[in-house]
Amino acid sequence: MNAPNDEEIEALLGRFSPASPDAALMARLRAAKPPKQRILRPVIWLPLAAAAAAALAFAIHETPQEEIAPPITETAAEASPRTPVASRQHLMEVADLGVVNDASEQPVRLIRTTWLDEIYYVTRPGDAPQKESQIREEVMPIALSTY
Amino acid sequence: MDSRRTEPDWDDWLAENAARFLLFARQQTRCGQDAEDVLQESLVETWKRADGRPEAALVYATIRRRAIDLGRRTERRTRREQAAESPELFTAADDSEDTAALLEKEIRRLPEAQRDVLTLKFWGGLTFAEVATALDIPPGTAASRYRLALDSLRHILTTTPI
Repeated sequence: MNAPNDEEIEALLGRFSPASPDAALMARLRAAKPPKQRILRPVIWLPLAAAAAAALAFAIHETPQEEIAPPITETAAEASPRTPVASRQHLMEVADLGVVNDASEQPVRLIRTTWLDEIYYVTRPGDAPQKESQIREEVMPIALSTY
Repeated sequence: MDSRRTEPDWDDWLAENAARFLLFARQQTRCGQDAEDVLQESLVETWKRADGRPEAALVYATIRRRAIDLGRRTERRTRREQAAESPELFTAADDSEDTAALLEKEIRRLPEAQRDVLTLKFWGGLTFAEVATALDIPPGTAASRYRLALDSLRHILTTTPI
């Protein structure tokens, strides 16, 4: 078999669906329906909230302020420079956001694409490249044919 | 608003989603009974928290956390008891039983981290951002693991005659 591409593998996976729960489990889950939440009336919780706020304000007032140490930053000289040497982009998701009118009142379809960018860095010549993965999203307008 | 919380809505939500949540619960636990307990606990908890239909990513995240909690509580259970049951994960189209058996075996053999992402992305219907939230990992890591899972399946499909 030739190596299938991503779409072919996903099409194959799409022929499977999660096994359904058996009837006994579904009956058990239906019976476990959570009771409706009761909403506390404002008349009850407002005094409680006021008391809590007063207690919090008092606690903050009484707490001595500690000096916050400045963040330790790496200087440019200490940081090891990394050089990007290669990159690969994979299209991972495409979502149709709908149709809108552009600035010239022409309809365009907005498509959001999600890319996985794999960037390879080396710190020193001869080192094995280290891979970093990032997600990138782009929203692209696609012009629609109008008649 | 209140109509969202009526009893049929709970039933409808279960009918629409129980299978995919159960799949993930089965992959996170050691036996079918544990999966069912974790599933029920998570569905009830998330429904209560959202006061109605919860986001799928929240349900998956809760299933994962409850499975971890259960795993810690039952750490001393015997291996024999844990492995006594291995429920079927998928149903396949009639014409692909051989491939189904092979793929199910390979999906079970994927590293857990890759299998979780594949399950949530493909059968869970989540975006990579939602997968990342559910598994508490960066979105880039989620996407990388998905690619690795596809690469593993590609390798097995290429090297194994079906």
